[in-house]
Amino acid sequence: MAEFSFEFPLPLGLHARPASFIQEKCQSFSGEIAFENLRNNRKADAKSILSLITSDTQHQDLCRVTVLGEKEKEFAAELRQFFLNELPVREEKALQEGVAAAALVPRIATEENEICLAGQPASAGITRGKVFLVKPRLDWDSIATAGEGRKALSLEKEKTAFLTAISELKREIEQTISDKSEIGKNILKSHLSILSDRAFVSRVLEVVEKEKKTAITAVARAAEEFSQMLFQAKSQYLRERMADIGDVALGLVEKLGWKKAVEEKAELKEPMVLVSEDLFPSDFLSFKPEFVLGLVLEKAGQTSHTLIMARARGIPAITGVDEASRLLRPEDEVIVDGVRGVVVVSPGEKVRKYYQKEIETEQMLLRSRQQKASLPGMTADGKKIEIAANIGHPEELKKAWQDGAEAAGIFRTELLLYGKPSLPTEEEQLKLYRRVAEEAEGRSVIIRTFDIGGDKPIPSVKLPQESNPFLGYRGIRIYEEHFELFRSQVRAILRAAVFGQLRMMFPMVSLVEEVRWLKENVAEFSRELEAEGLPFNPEVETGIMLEVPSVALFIDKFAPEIDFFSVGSNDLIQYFFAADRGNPRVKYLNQPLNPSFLRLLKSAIDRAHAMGKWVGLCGEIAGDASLTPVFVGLGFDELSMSSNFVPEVKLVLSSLKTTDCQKLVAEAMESATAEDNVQMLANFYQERFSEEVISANLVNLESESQSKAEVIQELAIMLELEGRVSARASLEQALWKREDDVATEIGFGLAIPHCQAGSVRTPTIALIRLKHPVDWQSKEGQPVDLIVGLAIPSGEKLRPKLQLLPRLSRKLIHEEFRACLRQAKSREEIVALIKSALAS
Amino acid sequence: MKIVAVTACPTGIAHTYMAAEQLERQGKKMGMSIKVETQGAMGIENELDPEDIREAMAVIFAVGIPVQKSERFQGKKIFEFSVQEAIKNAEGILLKVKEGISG
Repeated sequence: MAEFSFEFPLPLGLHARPASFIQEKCQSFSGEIAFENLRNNRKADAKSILSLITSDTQHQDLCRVTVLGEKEKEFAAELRQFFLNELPVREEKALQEGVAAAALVPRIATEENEICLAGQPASAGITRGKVFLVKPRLDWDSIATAGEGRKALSLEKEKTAFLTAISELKREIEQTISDKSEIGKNILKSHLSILSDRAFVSRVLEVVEKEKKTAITAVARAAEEFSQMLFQAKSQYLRERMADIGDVALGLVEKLGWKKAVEEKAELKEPMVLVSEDLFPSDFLSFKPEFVLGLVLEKAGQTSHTLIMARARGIPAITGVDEASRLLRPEDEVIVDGVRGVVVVSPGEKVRKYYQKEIETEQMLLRSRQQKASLPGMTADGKKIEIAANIGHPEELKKAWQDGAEAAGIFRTELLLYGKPSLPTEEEQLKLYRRVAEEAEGRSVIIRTFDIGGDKPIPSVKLPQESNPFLGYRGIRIYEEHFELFRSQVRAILRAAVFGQLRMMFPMVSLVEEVRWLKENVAEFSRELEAEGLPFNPEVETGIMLEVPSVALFIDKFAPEIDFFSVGSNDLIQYFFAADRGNPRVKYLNQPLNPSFLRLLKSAIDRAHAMGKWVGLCGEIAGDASLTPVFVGLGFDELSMSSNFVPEVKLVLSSLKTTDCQKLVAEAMESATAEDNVQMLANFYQERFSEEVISANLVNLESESQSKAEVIQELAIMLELEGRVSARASLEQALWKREDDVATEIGFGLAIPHCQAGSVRTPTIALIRLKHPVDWQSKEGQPVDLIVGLAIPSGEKLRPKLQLLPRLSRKLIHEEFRACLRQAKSREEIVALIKSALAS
Repeated sequence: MKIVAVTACPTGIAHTYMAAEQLERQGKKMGMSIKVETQGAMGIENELDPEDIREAMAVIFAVGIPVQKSERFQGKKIFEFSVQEAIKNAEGILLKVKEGISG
C-alpha cells in the first residue's frame, strides 16, 4: 500500500470535469485507488466520477490518496504529480476553452459563473421565464413505482438481470459509436463511462439487495439520486452528465422490461419558455400565443416556419442550442437572450439586474422602430417611393406590415418547394396565394414564379448536373420542359388574384421571344380557366426580373410587352461583372457602386420611365440604408428588402431631397472607380447626416451604475438608443476586449473605455458621472467616478471627425478641464465644454 | 536637454495622445525640450525628422505596440515605458531618463 496527502489545488473544487480527468488517469492502474477527504472524512473510489463528486471536496481541503496493487509506489508518485501539476493545468485550459466558445455571453454572466447555453439568435428580443419542455422528461419516481408493482424475481435473478442489461447496452453502444458525429461520439463515450461507473452500479445493487426492490426500481432510484446530486452544482458540464445518466438509466429500464407509456402531450397553462429539439409549426400553433414567452430550440433552421412565425409575433427565439432539451429541466428559470443567442440558466441577482435593463432597452428600441415604420415611403420633397418587403412564406407578411412595408415586392415562391418530396398542386397553391392576397388587405404582392436551378436545387424537380449552373438551366428556361410546374402556378395566381392585388413576375428572362412565349401561355391558361368556368382575374399585371444585362440594354423592346421591371441586383451584378458571387476570390468584383453599373441602371430606368413603365429593386442591396440616396437618384419607383431594414430605410428616405440624390448619381456616373464613389457617398452622408460627436442624450450626470460591468452596459445602451451603434452587444464586446488588453483607467478618477467596432455608425463621445465611484479592475485599482467613452467605426482612418477624439484625449490630461467636467451643472453644459475643447 | 518620444497604443485614439500630451507638459515644467511623435489611428503624426533624432540625447518609447520605423533610432539611447505609465507618471519617467543620460 502506498499513500500520499495533499491540499486540493483547484479553486472550483472537485466538480465533475476534474473528476473525469482523475478517473481517466486512475483507469490506467490495475489496482485499487481510494480518495479520502480528510476534512469531512468522506471516502471515494478514484475510478468513479460519481463517487469522486460525492466527496464534496473544496479548494485546499486536505486529501489522502491510497494506492493498492502492483507497482503501487511508482503509481502513487505519478498520481501525486498529476494532482499537483497536471490537473490544475488541464482544468485551467478547459475553463479558457469554455469562455472562448461562448463569445457573446455578457461579461457579467461569465464573471458570476452563470450557466450559459449558447446558440444562434433566431428572433430578436429578450425574455425571462420558466422552462416548459415540449417533450416531457421521464419521471423517475413513477418509473420506480411502476418497478415496485412488478413481481420481484429472486435477489440473484434481479442482480443478474441488471448486470446483463448493462453488458447488452454497452455492447450496443460500442457497435454504433463509430458511425456517430463528433458530438454523438462524445455523448456515447460518456454513456459508456457511466455504465462502468462503480458508484452507479454498486448503488443499484445495494437497493436491490438491502431494500429488496426490483432492478427497475433500483435503477430509477439511483438515476434520480445521482441526477439530483449533479443538479445542485452550477455547472453546464454537470448538467450534461445528468442528462447522460438519464439516457443510460432509460436504456437499462427498457432492457429490464419497462415500457414507456404512449406519450402524452403536456399542457401549457401559463406563460413559459418552450424548450425542444425542434418544433413543428403545427405544434407551435397548438399553444396559446400569449403563453409562449420564448423559444429555445436545438436544431430548427433559421428559415423554418416555426422561427418565421416567432419573428412575426415578436417572440424571442434561439436555435442551435446543443442539447437544450437534455440540459434544461422543467421549471428552471431562464433568460432567453435572442439578441446575443444566449440562454442563462437560473440567473443570480446581478445578471437579473443586467437583463432587466436589457429588456427595458429592447422595449424602447421597439417603440422607436415602430415610429420609423409608420413613416410614409416618401422623400423630404414629396417623391413617393414604395418601400416593400421580400418574403419567402405567407407567414412573413404579418411582420412585414408591422415593420412598415407598404407592399410585398417579391414573394420567392420556390422557397415553398424546399424539402418537399412533391410539387404542390394547383389547388394547394391557390389556397396559399389566396391567403396572401387576403392578408395583404389591399396592398400589392408580387408573386415571383418558381426560380429553380442555379444555387437553388429542389428535390421535386430533377435537373441535370451542370458545370456552371448560374449560367445554365434555371428560372423560366426550364418551364417548357417542366410545363406543368409553370402551368399550375400561373393558373393558381390568376385564380387567387380575384381576392386581392396580386402581380406576377418571371425570373431569368433574357430575350424578348421568351416574354412573348410566357405571355402566349398565360393567355392560353386564362382561356382554359374561362372554359372551365373557374373564377379568375384576367387583368393581373405582369413583370420581369431585370437580372440579365441583355434586358437592361434593351428596355425599349421589352417595355411594350410587360407592366414593370424589378432589378435582381445580386444576379445582375454577377452577370454584369462576370464574377460568381459565391466565389470569395472574385468577391471584390461585387461592386454595386461601380460607375459602369450605375450607368447601366440609370439608362435602363430612364428608358422604362420614358415608356411609362415602373422599375423596382428587390436585391439584397435594397435594404442597405447607406445606399438609399443612390437608389433615389437613379429613379427607382420601389425598393423591396428584408422587412427588418424597412424602418431604417424609411427614416433615411424621409430626409433626402430628390434633386440632391440625382446630382449625387450624375457625379457618381462620371467617376472612374467604385472606390471613388464609396468616398463620394461617405461625404454626401457627412454633409447631410453629420451628427455632432456628442449630444445631451449621451451624457448622464447622475449614473447609478455600481460596477464596471454596469458602466460598460450603460454606455452601450446609451449609444444604441441614440442611434450611434446598430448592435450594442457587439459594442459591449469590443469595449471589453479593449479593457482586457489593459484597463482604461488612467488615474485622476477617470476611465476612458473606447473601441473601434463595425457596428458603430459615427464617431461618438459619451460621458458618465458616477454617483458612487467604482473599481475599474485596473492594476493600480484606483476607483473611478468620471467616464468618457469613445466609439469609432471600423476602418475609418480618413474621416476628419476622427481627429476630434485625440484632441479630446489630450484635453483630458489637463486638470482644469477635468474639474470643469466634474462641476458642470447640466448635460448641455457638458456638451458645450466638450465641443469647445474639440474646437480649440 | 533635448529629448524625442514616440507614443502608440492598440486602438490609437486615446492613450497615444494622452501620453503625448502628458510628456510634453511635464517636459515643459522640467525645462526639457521634448518632441513627441504619435502613432495612432490616424497614422504617424508630428513625425520626428532625422535632425530631431540626431540632436536628441535620449529617445522615449511610451508604447503598448511595436514602434513603426524604429530603424530611425538605431544607435540612440532608448528608454521604453508603457503608455499608461507615461500618462500616470510622466514626471517619474523623465527623472529616470535624466538620470540615465547623465549616468
